[in-house]
Amino acid sequence: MNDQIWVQVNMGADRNQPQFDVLMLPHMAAAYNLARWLTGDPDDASDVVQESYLRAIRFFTSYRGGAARSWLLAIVRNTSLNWLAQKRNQKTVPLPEPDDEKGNAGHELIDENADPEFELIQKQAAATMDQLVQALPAVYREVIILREIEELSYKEIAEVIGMPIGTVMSRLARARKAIQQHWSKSADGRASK
Amino acid sequence: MKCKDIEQLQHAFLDQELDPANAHAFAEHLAACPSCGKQLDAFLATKQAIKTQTTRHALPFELYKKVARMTASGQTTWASPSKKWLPLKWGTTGAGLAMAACLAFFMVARPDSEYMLEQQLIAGHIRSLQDNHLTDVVSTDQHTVKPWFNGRLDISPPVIDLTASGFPLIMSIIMPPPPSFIATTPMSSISSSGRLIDPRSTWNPLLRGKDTI
Repeated sequence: MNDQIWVQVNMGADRNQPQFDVLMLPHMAAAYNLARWLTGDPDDASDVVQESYLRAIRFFTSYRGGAARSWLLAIVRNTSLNWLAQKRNQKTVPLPEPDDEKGNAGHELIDENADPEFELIQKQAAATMDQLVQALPAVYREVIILREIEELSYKEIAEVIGMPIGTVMSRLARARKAIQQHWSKSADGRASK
Repeated sequence: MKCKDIEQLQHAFLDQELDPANAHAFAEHLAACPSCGKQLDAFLATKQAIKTQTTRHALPFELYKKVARMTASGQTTWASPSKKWLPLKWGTTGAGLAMAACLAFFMVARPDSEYMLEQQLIAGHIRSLQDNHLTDVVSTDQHTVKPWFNGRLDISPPVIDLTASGFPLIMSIIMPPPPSFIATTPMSSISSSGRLIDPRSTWNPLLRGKDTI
């Protein structure tokens, strides 16, 4: 990875720039929001958005129509994850792969001992929704953001995260369950204050 | 419809993603089963809370202007203050150097198209043997492999089931050719092992597939 070589690819000649702007620029708010939630940092999110648009320009000649937003958000998502991976100093931290694909339904998403962020929130008694969402593992956080904030359909979310619709559904279910659990505890905390 | 089904389908129901037949059966069960109704109400409340109380981070206008300027100018690279895209850093491993040398050779030598295709295959193969890049997606299921390519590749390649011809799908990997070959071989091709090769890809061959997007 230290020997990355960046070769500029000249796509200027055959790229249809006005069309790109018309299709892709309107989704920059969604792109920023997703990048912001995935990276957790405004500066990182700005960098990711710029990087994503550059990639989008490079790949745009092969954009085959269809949902421009999902197409762009898929790039933003992958750029964000790569960004985070690089930021973690090349320590290989694989994304938490939920075992729902293996049908291991008994697995609990939230294990206080294994999840320091949630542990922290538990101690505060009353957490804000933002804190709860940010504390979710990225694979769950992204589906929550795409569904509840960006209001994408399951099919669009599946396109963005490159997973089957069934996976989208089960991740959403688990994410909501986790939030529900901690949200009601937080609500108790708030009430008792 | 049983309570167990309800538990599985309730999120799709809340998101209005159930097909009419299932939605109807769902509603029927719900009317008859108070405990499922209670559970659904709780999830509805949670969903509403998430929807209304999660911050939508507003796009900074400065960023919008910056990106709009960037796309208008046709810029395809940028220097991030927080990141190092070194223009050409030869690095420590011999592989990077060897690949770069190959690329330089191709650019200078401009061999005929048949030879180039051969070299593309070799370059792709070498790249695929680099550490951590033996496999991009480990799956024997076409329906996992195809969506995986979405957004990573600039095409949506067909994933053909070749099991009948004796080549079961075991995994997929992206093998981009050097950029100098763009438009030399316009057809996408898939090797029999299920590996995908797209000569039109503009990907930098010297980056590993999953790092490039």
